[in-house]
Amino acid sequence: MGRKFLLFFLGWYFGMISLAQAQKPALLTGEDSLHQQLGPSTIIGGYGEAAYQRDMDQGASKIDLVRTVLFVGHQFNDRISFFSELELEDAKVEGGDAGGEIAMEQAYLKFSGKRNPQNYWVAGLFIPRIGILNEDHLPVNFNGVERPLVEQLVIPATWRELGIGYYGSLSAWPLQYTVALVNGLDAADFSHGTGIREGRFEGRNATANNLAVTASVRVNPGSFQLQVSGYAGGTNGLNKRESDSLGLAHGLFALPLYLGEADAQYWHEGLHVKILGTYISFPDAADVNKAYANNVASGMYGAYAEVGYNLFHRAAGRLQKQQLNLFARYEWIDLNNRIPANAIYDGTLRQSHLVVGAGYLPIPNVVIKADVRFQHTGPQNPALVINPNPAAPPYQQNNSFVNLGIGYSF
Amino acid sequence: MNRRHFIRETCNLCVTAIVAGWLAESCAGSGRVIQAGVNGQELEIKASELEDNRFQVIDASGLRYRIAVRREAEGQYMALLLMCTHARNPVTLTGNGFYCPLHGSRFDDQGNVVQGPAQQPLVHLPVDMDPQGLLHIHLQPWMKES
Repeated sequence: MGRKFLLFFLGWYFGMISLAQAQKPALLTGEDSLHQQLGPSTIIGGYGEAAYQRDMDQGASKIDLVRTVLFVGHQFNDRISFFSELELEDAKVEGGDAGGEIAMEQAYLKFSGKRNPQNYWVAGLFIPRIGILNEDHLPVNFNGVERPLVEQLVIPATWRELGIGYYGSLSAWPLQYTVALVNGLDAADFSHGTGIREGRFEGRNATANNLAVTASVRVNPGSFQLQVSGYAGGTNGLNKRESDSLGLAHGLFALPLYLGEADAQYWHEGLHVKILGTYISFPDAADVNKAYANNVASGMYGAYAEVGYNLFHRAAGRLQKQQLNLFARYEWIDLNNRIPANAIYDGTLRQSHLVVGAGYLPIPNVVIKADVRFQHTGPQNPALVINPNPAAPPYQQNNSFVNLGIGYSF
Repeated sequence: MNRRHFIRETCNLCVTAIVAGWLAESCAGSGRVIQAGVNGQELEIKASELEDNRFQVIDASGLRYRIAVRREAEGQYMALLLMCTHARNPVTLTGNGFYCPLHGSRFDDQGNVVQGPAQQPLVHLPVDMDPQGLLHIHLQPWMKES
C-alpha cells in the first residue's frame, strides 16, 4: 500500500510539474515565436538613440541619450492583442530638475477583423497616421540624427492621443486607410514658437469635452507610396461657464484646428526619395490670443524633400546586408505664415534647413549617423526680444549644427 | 476661352489622365486578392491565376494571415506568409516588397529584412505543383485560427 501510494504521489508530482511547465506564460522573441505554436505570448522589443550636437555659432556642444523606448506586446488570442511603448527621454527624470520625461508613447488594445486581419480596431493611447514619421519613428528608419524638423514643429511627432481608430485596407487595391476619433488639443497650452506641440495631452488627463477626427489614405502603386492625411478637432475643453468667462466658443469642435498633409515616397534600387507638405489652419487664433496671450498663429506650414542613396546597394559579400545611406534633405517651415491682428510676427519662425549626412547600418537594426544642418531664419523682431544685445549674444540668422548619433531597434 | 488657355487646359487634362491611368494600372496589378480553400494542411490555388513576376495575395478563411505567392521561374514558386516577424502584425504588399505599419519594418520582395525593427525574414512556405497545374502551399498548424 505504502509503495503504491509512493508511486502514485511521484506520478502526480511529476505530472503537476510537467503541467505547470506547459502552462508557463511564454516570453518570446520574434524569432522564437516563429518556431512555436503561436499561442498566447508576450513579445518585447524597443528602440533608442543617443546624439551629439555642436552649435557652430554658439560654440556649444551637448550629448544626450535622447530616448530609450521599451515595447511590450501581448497576444491574447487570434483577434485581440495589446501593444505598448514606454519612453524615457534624456536618460533620467529627477525631481526639481528641468528636462527628462517618462511617458507612455502608446498603450492600446487591437481588435482584428475575423475575415481580414489586416483590418482592425484600436482603442487606447495610439499614434494616428499623420505624416511619415509620426507612425514610423524608429531611428533606424529615418535619415539624419535629428528627426525632420517639419515633423517636429508642424506635425508634432510623436503625436499620440486617446481614442478609437479603424485601420482598413481594400482587397482589390493596394490601398490602406485609417479613421480615428481622439481627444482634442488644448489651445491654452499652445505656445509661441512651438506650433501646436504643447497643446497635446498625450494621454494624460485629456479634456474630453472636445474631440478630433483624423483620417488617412495611403496607396502603394509600383515603387511609390502616396499618402494624404488630415486632422480636424476642437481645441477648447473648458465647460460653458469657463469658456464664457474667457470669451471662447465651447463644444466638441469649438475653436477648430485643421491640419492637412500629403507625402510621397519612392524606392528604386538603392534610391529613396521622400517629399512631404503640411499646413495647419487655426481660424480662431485671435480668440485664443485674447484669452491666453500666447501669440499663436492662424496659419503654419512645413515641407521637406529628401533624397537618399544606399551606396552598398550593389555591394557583394560582407557588405551586401549592410547599408551606407547618403542623404540630403531640405526643409521649409513657417510657424507664423498667417497671424491674427493681435499676434506679433516672429521672423525667426520662418526657417529653412539643409541637412546633409550619412547613416551606416551594419545590420538593419543598428545605425551610426553623422550629418550637418545648415539653418537660415528670418530676422528677430525687436518687439519680442527680452534680453537685447549685449545682455545676450546677437541673433544669427545663419547657423550650422554638426550632429553625430547612434540608434537601434529590435 | 482663348487658344493658349485651351491648350493649357488640354495638356493638364492629358497629364492627369496619364497619371491616373498609370496609378490605376500599377494598383490593379499589385494588389488583387484571391480567395482560396484550405485542404487539410495545404492551401490550393491554380498556377494559372498567377501573373509573371507579380505577387498574388491569397486570403484563405481559417488562416490568421494572408499569403503572397509569386512565380519565380518555370515550375518554381515562392510563398511568403504576410506576418511581420517582429510583433506578428500583418504586413502590406507594396510595389517593391512588404511593409509593416506597426513599427515600420520593411522586407524586400524575397522577404528579407530591409528596415528594422524586424530581424528575421518573412516566413517562406514550401510550394509544389501537381501535374494538373494546382499549387499546393504547405501550411503549419500554428497558422490556422484556433
